[in-house]
Amino acid sequence: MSFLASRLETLVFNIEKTLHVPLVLSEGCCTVEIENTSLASYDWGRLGVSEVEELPQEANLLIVAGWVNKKRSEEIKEYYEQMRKPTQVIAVGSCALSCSPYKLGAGSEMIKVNDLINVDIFVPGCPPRPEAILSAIIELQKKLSPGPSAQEVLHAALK
Amino acid sequence: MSVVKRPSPKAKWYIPGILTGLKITIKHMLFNLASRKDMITVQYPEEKFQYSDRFKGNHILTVKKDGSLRCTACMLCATHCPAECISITAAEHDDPEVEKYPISYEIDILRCVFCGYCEEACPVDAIRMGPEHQTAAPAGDNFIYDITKLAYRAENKGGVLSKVDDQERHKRGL
Amino acid sequence: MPKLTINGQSIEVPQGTTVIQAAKELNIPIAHYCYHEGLSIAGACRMCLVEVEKNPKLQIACNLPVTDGMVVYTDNPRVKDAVKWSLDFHLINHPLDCPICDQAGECKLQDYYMDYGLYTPEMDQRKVKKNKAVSLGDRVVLDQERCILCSRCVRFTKEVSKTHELGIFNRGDRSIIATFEDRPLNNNYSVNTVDICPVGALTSKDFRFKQRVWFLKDFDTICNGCSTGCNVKVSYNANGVFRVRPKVNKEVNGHWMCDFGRDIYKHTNKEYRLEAVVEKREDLSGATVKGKPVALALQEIGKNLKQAKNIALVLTAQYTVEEYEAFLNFFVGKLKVSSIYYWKNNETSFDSFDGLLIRGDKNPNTQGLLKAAQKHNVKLLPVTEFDKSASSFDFCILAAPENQAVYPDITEKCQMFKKSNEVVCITSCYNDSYNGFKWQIPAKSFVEKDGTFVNFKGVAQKIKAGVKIIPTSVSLEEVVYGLTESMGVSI
Repeated sequence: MSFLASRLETLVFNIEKTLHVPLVLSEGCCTVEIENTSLASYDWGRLGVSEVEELPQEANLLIVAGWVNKKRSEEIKEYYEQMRKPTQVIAVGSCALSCSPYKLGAGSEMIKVNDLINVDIFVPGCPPRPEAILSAIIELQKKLSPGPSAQEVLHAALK
Repeated sequence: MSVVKRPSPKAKWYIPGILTGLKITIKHMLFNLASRKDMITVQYPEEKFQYSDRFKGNHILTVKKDGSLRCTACMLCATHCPAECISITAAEHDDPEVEKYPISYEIDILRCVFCGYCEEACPVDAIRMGPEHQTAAPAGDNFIYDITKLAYRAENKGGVLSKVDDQERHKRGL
Repeated sequence: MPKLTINGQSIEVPQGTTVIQAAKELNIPIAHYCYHEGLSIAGACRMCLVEVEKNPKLQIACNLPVTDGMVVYTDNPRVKDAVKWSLDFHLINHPLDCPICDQAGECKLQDYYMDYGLYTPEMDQRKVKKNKAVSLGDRVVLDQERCILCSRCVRFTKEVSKTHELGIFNRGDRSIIATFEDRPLNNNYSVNTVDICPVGALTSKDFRFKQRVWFLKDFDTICNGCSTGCNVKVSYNANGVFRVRPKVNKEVNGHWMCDFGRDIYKHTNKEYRLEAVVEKREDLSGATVKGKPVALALQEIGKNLKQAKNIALVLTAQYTVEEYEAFLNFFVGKLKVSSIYYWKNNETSFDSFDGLLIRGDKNPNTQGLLKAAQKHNVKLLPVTEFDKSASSFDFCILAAPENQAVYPDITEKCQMFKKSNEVVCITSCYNDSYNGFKWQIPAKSFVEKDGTFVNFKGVAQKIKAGVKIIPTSVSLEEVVYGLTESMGVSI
């Protein structure tokens, strides 16, 4: 019985790992690209990402885009702490990654997302194309379960 | 004055609305089953969207015929870069005709905003915005692209030649 | 006193003044390449053409003495047209090298092309090919294609340095600037030719390709290379200091400075500097600890200083008047220190002078130190006498030289200082010889502090802090302040 329970637990864990429930905190032009990725033309549902969640307690994938200033950083941190663990973070676009083209240094209100929370996947681009965001999700899956993906195994078998 | 249109009595019954929605969904599903060509979804990792030639993707440093960089390290790209992501270190070349060349050329891809000003500013067609869109990478990857990555990466197949031929220009005395 | 009118503005100038000088006083720009205030007049470039009333032809303003009642126009269409064509003739064989040319950004050809240029050149002949990147000497590189033959550099070697290395050879559009075969341009003032070159033909080997000039900012200060006290402009950006150029001061250095002064920026840059406090442990291991905050270090030094009975001071003349004042006020006025040693850079060549600018006294503030000592009634002992009573000192404070290149005897002198019990070395530059000392405190270099240098003539000149390179470094004033705080002494 305990064997079955542990198997079931592994199954549930694996499903949970591959099912990304995203919470999108986005500002500026990256929002458009993220919307585009989630809808019919690029459809991130194919890669196991569910619909965009509004409750942080339900989500386990945080997608941050746009500039992060001091005021917004508190909001992001608050959301991040409430999210389901383990939380994965994807930072999208130059603003979020490096505050570009804003100046950093003395007097700057801008904060890099990586200094705020631990970012797993970086998506460079201003704004990045939907492909880049999809490739981020593929990278994330590679990171979570190393080794060849089911797709690659299938392709190899077909060849 | 804004006029609020009252919902028609038909809409009060939800079932027709639901059916209208389902009709559209099922129609698309059947169409897509019938012909996959017309499907608007791009199956990303397998098929890729064809962008225009003017797409501003990752930078390429072009090379001369002998495979060395075209860049003369004039730093006009670094001057015009609004994101200040380009850093170049120049050095003296042995050949007095070349005179100046970059010993390091680095682009911080996280800071770059892909505006294409570097391409516009370059007087010798040494830097271009390539066709490859950006790809994501996990934390800890190298996001500062150096000469090997910019000029001689696998996609460039040993370096991209510029259309401007220097030797031809020198022959004509330009 | 003749009176003339330029573009409707009249001015009275002394007899013998040329029109270009009079125009400069009125702030009327006249384009010129070959004319230079510090050199004789050549009249070679034909860029300073002006129209004089009742004179049928245009005249060159640089060689036209002012006569009474002269009426001059510099901006009418006839003059502008003439300047435009003059410039176009200069550009016939000039290569479009601007991307790789170091002068780009401060080039007179670029400036005047924007003002007067003929944007549609009518020349259909090929450009004449000449040699590029010809090494003229240890410090200067010549690009013969870029040269416009203004002959400023030739006149400089003839009239100022009087070494006659450069000359114009060949004729017509084959003319080149060159040196005679066995005599490279190796005089002590050679880099001045780079400064006066209006185009990018002569470039400095030291600055070549280091930075583009538009990334650099300038600030004015005084050279600390020798006791002449030349006024200089220091170019810097966030990566450090990159070059030093002379600034005109007719009473001190004129338009020029020497080549040794061009290297003074090097010992202000990070790679040569002591970046943090270095402390040698008291225990047997003798290991050094780095990175203690300066204030804490000064507190500990103050404690030991309070107990010390026999204190020695070693001073070099490389610090400002204000620093000496604070230092002597504290040590002589409060602590009654009597053994104060003066470390000269080189006893034998101390009073030498080459006739133009270079002096053997390689310290910027010798007079300032002597005056401060006189004010406090202190007798400065020569540093060679330190050896006699070295072991009797239980405390020695060394204000080490900033420009170490001119102190060849550092290692042997440091061995001597090590004989005393505890040595505090205040130094801006890193040196292996200082390693045996108990304390090394990072000092500010001359580009980072405000103060006064008094030159050999007694002319006091201000230096200003322009750039921050080592943020933890302190001046002698701040050292004294830290010591007074920890010892509870007020001044």
